[in-house]
Amino acid sequence: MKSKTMTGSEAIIQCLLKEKVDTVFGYPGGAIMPVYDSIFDYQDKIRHILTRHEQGLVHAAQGYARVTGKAGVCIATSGPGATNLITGIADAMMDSTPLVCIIGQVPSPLLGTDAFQEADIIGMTTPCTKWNYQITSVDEIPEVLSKAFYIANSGRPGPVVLMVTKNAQFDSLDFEYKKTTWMNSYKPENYLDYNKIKKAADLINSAKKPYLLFGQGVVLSGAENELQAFLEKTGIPAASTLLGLSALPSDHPNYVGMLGMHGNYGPNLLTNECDVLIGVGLRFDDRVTGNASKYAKQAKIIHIEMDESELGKIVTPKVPVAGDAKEVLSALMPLVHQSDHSTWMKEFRSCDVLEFDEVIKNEFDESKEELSMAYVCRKLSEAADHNAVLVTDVGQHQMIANRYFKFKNTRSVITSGGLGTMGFALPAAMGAKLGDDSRTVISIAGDGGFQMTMQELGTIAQHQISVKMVILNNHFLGMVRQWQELFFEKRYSFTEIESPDFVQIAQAYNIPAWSISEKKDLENKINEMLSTEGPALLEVKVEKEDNVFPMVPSGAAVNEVLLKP
Amino acid sequence: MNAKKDFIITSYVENKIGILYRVLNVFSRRMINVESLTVVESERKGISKLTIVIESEDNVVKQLVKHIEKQIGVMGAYVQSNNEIAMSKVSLYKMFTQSLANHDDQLPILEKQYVN
Repeated sequence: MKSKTMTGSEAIIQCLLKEKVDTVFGYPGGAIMPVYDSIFDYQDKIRHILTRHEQGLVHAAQGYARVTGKAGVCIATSGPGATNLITGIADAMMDSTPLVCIIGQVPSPLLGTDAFQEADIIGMTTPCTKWNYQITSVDEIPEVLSKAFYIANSGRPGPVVLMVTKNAQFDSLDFEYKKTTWMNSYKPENYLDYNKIKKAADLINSAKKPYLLFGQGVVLSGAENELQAFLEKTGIPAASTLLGLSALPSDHPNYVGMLGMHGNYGPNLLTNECDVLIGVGLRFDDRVTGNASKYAKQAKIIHIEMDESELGKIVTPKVPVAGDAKEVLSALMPLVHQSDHSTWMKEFRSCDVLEFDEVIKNEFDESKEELSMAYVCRKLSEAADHNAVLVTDVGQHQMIANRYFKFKNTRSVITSGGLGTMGFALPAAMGAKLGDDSRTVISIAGDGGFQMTMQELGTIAQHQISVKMVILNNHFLGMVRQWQELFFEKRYSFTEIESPDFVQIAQAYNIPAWSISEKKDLENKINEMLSTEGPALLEVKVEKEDNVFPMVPSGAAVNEVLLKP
Repeated sequence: MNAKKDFIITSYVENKIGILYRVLNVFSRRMINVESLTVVESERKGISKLTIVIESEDNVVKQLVKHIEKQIGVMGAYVQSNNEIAMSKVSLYKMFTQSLANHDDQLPILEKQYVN
């Protein structure tokens, strides 16, 4: 009989190596100490990023996953270490981000006894994980880790939580790793129904006013080229969800803008005028549909989505197609006719003119003294040659930045979409930069959101992560203030916020920083920030009571989109 | 608007810790009360059969079944509305054999009426 040659904690590291993990985000603690002792010996193979809070590490792993397409790996300890991860796990679940979280747990004899730093993390994370599992025996480690990576990355990606009891980390096993490619109770691939594909193609070919909406599914399945080819052949106008942005270059002739509550005017308005609506890799979130009972009622809907449980959840498609965006678009391609919808496209373009006159023109009014958020964001995008990875927090600046940035490459937008997690941007940006060092990563946050996770400046400084941080400071929790102004009679209940001197804060971490409030300084400082080696921070004091428009008010239909209050 | 009625959802799941919670969470998250629930081992070793009765509407139930099927550890889920299946009530009694022995005149009646 062979002797048991490897400890559970080392086996965990070996599993990570087998899965080609090069970076992990972690924070040590009692119940995960054996793993930390093992990782100490593998520092040349695995880069460990120590954050300043577990929420920081999970958002960093999300940023890493979103930019690379590979599962982000988190390591944390039991109890509070794990509960601090939950916001990010729920965020990853909503935004289909692959994560594998390896979390320590008290020794198995102590489970359920209210032991020190024990919490029922399996119970707490069941509703917000794609899969979770508690490893109590060392022999389970290779198989369960292999499954975890398979589940997180395949199908519609999502977060996986593994709790590993301390005894399982200490005990020994004979290590053997088999990559999971199949599971009995999990079938990530869809069986393509060619009848449905044919029906969809017929609908598309007979449409007078077809309109395509795409979401992050296009990015996740790597269907960017297929989407572009499909649009070019069919001549169909296409709009993006927030998370789908950058899947199609902003200057593509078929691209008409962003959907949603603060999306562009035409894409919202004309949803209720098209005759065939094609949704590709999106879930018809309520921020996209507005009042769902008044959403695209005149249109025949084709919904292409790999997660079957999304089909028919919010809208009722005439042709539901369960399938991966890339596969379905490729199958549709030979069946759809070459066509021209330029008259219909003109309707979008005339909406753009309206939006420009009512909204955009004012934002870029050079004679206006105060800086608008839109002005800053457009200048940032230009300075980075529309090539940066834009990481945003949540709120007014998020909507504005994503409206006014332009994108050339896919995977250029990282934001907290479904969960709307303030504090997301800074840690996610450092994860994104670590995931792809070749790209310029710009994080934009408000003064509120930045302060939620600004402790991660410590991580950025320690690892010299070259993120360019922009704070749009309006001295308000802006989006809530906007709603208070519009819907709560301007009663600004607890939305005014005082901030520290962000420049001094950054300087305390030896991070170069500037603060500006005048238009004349903007371009210079942006360029200085972007050309600084290593991390840099720019605070821009912007107009205090700037509002985001267009807006589909809560409960209104998409064609009731407003250009002004 | 669909009227509410009883539905019986049958699901085959791996006989493992935590899967029952994952399935039931599909209902509780949407504020749907589980009227009855049984878990038994199925014909296949290691696979349990869940039978869940809920009160709901056709379109909601269709969606619920898809959400159950999506859970990892679930092999499949099926739904029947109350009027699609014939139901009969069966009662099982546990009796001390001693009491039967004392009243052996009752034994033939029991066998005839209840024991198949």
